[in-house]
Amino acid sequence: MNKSKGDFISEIFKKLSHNKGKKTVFDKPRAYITGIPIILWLLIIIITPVILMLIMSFRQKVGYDISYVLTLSNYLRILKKPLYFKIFLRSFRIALIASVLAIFAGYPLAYYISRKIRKGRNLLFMLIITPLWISYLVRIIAWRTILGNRGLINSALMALGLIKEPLSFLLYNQFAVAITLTYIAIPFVFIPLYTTLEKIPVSLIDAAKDLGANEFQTFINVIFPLSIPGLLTGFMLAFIVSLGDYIIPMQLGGTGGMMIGNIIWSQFGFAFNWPLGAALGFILFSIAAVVLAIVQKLGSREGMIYE
Amino acid sequence: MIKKEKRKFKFSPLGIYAILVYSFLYLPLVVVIIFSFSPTKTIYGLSGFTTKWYIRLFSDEALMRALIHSLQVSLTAIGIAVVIGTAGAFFLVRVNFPGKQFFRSLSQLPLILPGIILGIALLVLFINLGFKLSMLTILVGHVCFTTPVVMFQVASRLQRMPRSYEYAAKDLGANTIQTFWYVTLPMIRTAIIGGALMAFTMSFDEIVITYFLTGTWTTLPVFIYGMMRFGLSPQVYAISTVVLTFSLFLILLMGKFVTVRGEEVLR
Amino acid sequence: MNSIKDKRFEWEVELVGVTKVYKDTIAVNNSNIKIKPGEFFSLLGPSGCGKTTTLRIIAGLEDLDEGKVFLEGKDVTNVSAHRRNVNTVFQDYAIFPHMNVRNNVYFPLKMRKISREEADPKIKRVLKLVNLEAFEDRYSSQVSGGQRQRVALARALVNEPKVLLLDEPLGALDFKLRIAMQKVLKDIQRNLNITFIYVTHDQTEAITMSDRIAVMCEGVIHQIGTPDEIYNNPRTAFVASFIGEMNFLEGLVVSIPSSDTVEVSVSNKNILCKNNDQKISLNDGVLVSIRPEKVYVNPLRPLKNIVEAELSRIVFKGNNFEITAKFGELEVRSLVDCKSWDKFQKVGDRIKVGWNPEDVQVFPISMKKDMIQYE
Repeated sequence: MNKSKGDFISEIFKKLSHNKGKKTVFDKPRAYITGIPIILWLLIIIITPVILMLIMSFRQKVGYDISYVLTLSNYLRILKKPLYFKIFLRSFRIALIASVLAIFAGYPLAYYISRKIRKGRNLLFMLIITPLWISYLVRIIAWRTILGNRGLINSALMALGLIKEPLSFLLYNQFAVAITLTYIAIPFVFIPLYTTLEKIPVSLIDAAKDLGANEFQTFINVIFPLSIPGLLTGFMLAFIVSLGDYIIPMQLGGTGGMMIGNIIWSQFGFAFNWPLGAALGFILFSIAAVVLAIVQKLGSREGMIYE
Repeated sequence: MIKKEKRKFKFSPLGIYAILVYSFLYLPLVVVIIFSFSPTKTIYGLSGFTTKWYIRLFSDEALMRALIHSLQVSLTAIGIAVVIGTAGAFFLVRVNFPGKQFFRSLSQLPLILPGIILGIALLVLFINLGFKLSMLTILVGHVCFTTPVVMFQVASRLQRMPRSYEYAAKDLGANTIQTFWYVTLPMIRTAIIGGALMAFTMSFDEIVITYFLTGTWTTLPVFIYGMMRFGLSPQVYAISTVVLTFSLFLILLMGKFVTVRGEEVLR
Repeated sequence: MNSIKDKRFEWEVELVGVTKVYKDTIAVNNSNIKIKPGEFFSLLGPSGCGKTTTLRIIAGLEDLDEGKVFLEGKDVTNVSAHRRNVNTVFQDYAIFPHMNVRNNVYFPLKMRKISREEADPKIKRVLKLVNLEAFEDRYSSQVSGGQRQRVALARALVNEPKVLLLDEPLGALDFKLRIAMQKVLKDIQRNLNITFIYVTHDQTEAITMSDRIAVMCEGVIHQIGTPDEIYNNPRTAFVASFIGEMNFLEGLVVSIPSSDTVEVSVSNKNILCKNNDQKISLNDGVLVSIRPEKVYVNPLRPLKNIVEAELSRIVFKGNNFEITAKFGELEVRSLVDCKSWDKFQKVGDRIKVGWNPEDVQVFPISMKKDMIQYE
């Protein structure tokens, strides 16, 4: 039997796969045509830039130039100078607070809509998603308006005569950043949570009730455990989005509310230290990747198989 | 006659909490809209009603230019995204290749990663290639995230589409291209449109990555961001309200095409 | 709470005038059911007849619009499901996927705040009852469908309820397994002396297992009786058509010889039939119904009703033959067991078919629309 080129390539693919002895037939090379544009896209737009970013992080700023010598100096600087660690820690904290607050807002809502409402459920769901699609920038503007010295809260309080001077602690600090991040994060938490909650078969709830569980017990023993995968996904999305944000800290954070995003941005702005920025960026990337991996691992262990 | 007992409306604490959260989500937007009609430049609240800021928008040349730029970029980006993304969807769903999960995760990265990372990475790419920041660089940035949006929307629909239709077409004498054009494409058409709409909405609004990749050629969000440097004026609110309304319109359109399922919105 | 006075209740479960409406359909229409303690009671009917809804109303998982539900003589109409002393085995088993078998079975005890130490022997005992002792640590994804069904059963029994509700529990199982499980269920019911309320659309299942059956159609209970009564004395044409195989012939009443017999003219032949309390008068249109196994081909003994017919079809059914006899425009099917069938009879032969009047029922022709008919 003559082995055609196609067979040969198929065999290579077979060897590359880790199928533990399962017989798989990979498609003939001809079928991969549809994959060409997307693979090119992946290579050019995702993989290459990230690799280049990594390489950039190993270079060094020399005067107005960036040298081609590869060093670890950026990473060392990040590890040594306490400023960076402090900012990372603060960013973590703010992102964590925002995510948790978003969960507090989003979970009861997801529970209520998925389990308590029958009519108009889709509409209510759309109403939560809508802010997600409405301009990010507009939402930031909105919060600056509310919290500012001449903003909604201050104007209202002054008009009511409750305060004489505007409350300045509302804006340009961590509080403002946290609350705006929460605002952005709520839909991110809500969606996976809602999806998961909705998938819980009604018969499980019926069974719990039938076997003697009241509403609260049903929630603790049945609904909540089964919602954990969605909860983790939502948390992860909210956390990563909050951690890497730079626009919100820039607009509402002042000096006290600086996050890692600010620092990175300034490296590409007036500080003009691209290698350092790339290094910081790569660290952020790694953190995000790790969080993603952890959540995926946890999520699959809980893997529920519904009938 | 069967008499149905009127169901008593339960004022559950959960329901009240839900209303509170909804209010929290929408009040800020309402504030923006209201302030856009304020005649004074300060934002001391509503002291009158005027639409003059909206009218001023139209005479602002730079703003209009930014608006057109946004449309140019977004439309081009979704055009490219539809082609690459649809092909990619077929690749993902129909072709049996190793490392599918890895491929899937990689493709999702632009949607999950913070925009700043993508911004840096692409910026570095352009520096290495010697490109100056311009519409092209912004376009590439937008193609970066619009493609997976379309791809996963289409892939989701493809997966749910029974292959028996394609087999029937082949059986009746259609070749691969004909099958695709006459049978598969019409069935995934709404997914493509929905994905494109979603991608357009994201692209039109995009600031995070764009801000990194913008030179003198700006899009609307970048322009608005620039306006914010000078403090918040009713003009900012006016353009914000316009953007808001446009987004709402897009969402309504999306509602017709996109089957809203949690997984699809995010991936 | 339990005083001696409560012990003197007559019915374990009682439904009085229970009605439930869904939008514009009446799911359960004025049901009145009385179930004795320790009875195996089935709700039987085609899909959509309201049997599952009725079950859920008893469980408390469904509100009713009119009527009352009594358990052990106490009115539980407004008592919520988790406080009623009945447990359900659901059609899809509803095993909690995030708990192993042991914790699933422990769940009802946990809800009653019984500690693990106290609960453990109960759990072990009930798992032994369903033969799943070795599976305590498994999760639902690791057990087969039949095993999951037994977990559901164990979980529903661990609280030692007086009443067990079962919603088509054997529907998903294959034939042999189903037969085996029927026996298991029946044994458990008898040994533990629990009242079983069993929903099914499978009449063979209902007939073999039940003490009494309620046959339902479109929300209405047509008949409640023992399997024998349902089979041999159906009260409506629906019950006659739903249970087993039945021949139906349309005819006109020509005379009423006594209070429980009528003479019906069918295709120019006069047949004497039994009348089971049906309101029938002279010249009414009626449906005459006879079970195929009560139609005798070329009977050796003289029968009151004999008709000359033509053999129009022979179908081999495994343990018997189904013979179709045609006379005039009417057809009648007869079941003849293989041993008695003359293999030399062929299609087209002239034969005689006959039956006894006691084996025939008549129903008013107006009942025809309720019948199960397959075109």
